[in-house]
Amino acid sequence: MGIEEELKQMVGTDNPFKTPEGYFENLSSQVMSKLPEKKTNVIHISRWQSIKPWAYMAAMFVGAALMIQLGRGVFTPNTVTQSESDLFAFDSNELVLDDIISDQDIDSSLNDSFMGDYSLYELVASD
Amino acid sequence: MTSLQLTISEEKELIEQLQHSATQKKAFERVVKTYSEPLYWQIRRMVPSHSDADDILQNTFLKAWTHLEQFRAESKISTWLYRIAYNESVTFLKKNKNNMTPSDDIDRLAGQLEGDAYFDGNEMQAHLQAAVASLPPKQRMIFNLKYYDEMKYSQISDVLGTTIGTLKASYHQAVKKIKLHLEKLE
Repeated sequence: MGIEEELKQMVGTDNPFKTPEGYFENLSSQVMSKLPEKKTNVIHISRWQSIKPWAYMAAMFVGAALMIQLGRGVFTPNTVTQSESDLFAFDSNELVLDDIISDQDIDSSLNDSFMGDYSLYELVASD
Repeated sequence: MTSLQLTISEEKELIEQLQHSATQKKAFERVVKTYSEPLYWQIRRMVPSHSDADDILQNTFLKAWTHLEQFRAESKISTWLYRIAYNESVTFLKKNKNNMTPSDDIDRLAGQLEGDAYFDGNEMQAHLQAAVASLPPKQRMIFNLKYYDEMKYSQISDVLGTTIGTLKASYHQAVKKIKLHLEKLE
């Protein structure tokens, strides 16, 4: 006979404990009344998480604008450097039209423009 | 453990109901009705006082309810509840260390039990319970599940997460120690 069997023979396996009368009858309603209501899962969204899509969209627009700006800079020919442009810079206050073109130059230009040549009018009017 | 067994289809149906918020509470009520008595006796053998056992049982169901979403049906409902009840009992015993009976205090506790209004056993049974109370909590649980509930070692292993070999050795030692104490009385 095993040691367990010997013990069982010695004392048995009966339950020596008891409960107050009607304990199990009220137990389930007692347990159920003490249970807290299950809360609906509320997801807390931080301020950053709520504005994140808008921030990303804004960043995308800014990025696109910068790309366009950059593209313009690359593809527009801009061969005149700063030093070269300085060569062409002039102060309009220092120059007077008479200093550049004389009356004689104007008369000769008018003569050379064939403005009094009637044959030109005939040529234009002919078929 | 036999009283804890539901049929496979009943268990499956109950688990499904527990997982849906609309049927959860009603299903849990069924769990409480099915398992409250066997769980109470299991706890009562861990802590011989009725009021302590009642508190631990209430906490067991409260914990099961609040952690219901974590129950993944990898084990039986009964195994899950036994595990919670065991953990709650151990937590209680750690908080109330005066409930841990030293070996030389077995006679005193046996005397106390015999005078308890909710103890209905004889002197030998009182000494058996006192000797069980002198065991470390895990060994106490192993002894109760095997000796009284005749649970298989594989099931005890699921509840306590201990290997079958360790369980066998622990149970054998517990029986030997208790028998030795009771033999002194004869």
